[in-house]
Amino acid sequence: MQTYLVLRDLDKGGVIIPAQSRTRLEWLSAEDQAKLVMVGAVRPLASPPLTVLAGWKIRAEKLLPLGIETLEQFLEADVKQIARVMRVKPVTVRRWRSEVEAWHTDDRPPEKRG
Amino acid sequence: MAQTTTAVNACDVVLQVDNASGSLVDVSGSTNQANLDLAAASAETNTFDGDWAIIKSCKKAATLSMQALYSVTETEALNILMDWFFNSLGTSRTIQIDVPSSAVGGDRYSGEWTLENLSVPLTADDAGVILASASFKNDGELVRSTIAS
Repeated sequence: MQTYLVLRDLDKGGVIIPAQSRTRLEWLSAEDQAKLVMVGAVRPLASPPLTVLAGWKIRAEKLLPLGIETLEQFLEADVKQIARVMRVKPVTVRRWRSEVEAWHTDDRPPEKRG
Repeated sequence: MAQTTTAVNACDVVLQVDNASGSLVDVSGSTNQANLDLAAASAETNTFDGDWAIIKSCKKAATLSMQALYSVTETEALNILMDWFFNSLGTSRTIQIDVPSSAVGGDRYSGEWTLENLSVPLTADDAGVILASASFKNDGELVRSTIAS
């Protein structure tokens, strides 16, 4: 499921989703999601394969048995399960998540990102 | 830049005003015009040397006016505004305007407003519907958001 970066405050039935937050807009149809992109209220966030991230090739291969291939899947997966498979502490997994989240919201072309 | 293809009109604007209970009421069926004016405070200064003024601006303010049809239904615009004037003048109420409509992707302007003026023109030989005019000043922040549901 696509994740979006909110560029302008969204009004969801009186509840404000502030700019700079992330949302899946799961309550909207694909057509309405596209409309919000068209008016510039949200921007789709990229979800590349983990293998394209610098320094992630080996980690990406180890995460495949969990069904985790993309950045989005990694951010959604259970931290403890990842920690168990990767044989690291959950705090390490959370640090990895912070690293890839910065990549997730970077709107530079992939070849220019760290 | 190429001519826009996303211009909109005001035919389906949705206007909502808080009633006495603090609940937003859609008064689009009993109003037909609204003007939202956004302004900033500014001042200019000149020096001996330059020919052009230095202009600084800050702070934001908004005024709103609307035209309401004189109807006798309690839940329509005119009666809500009359109730505001006679029974709770001095209190601020929420007014919300959706442009071009309330559909997803539209702009929503929402804020607290004070009622400044309410005019009811009565003309003996005018067969048309009486159109009352109301003007407001914003009390606090006016928020512009995108409708997402």
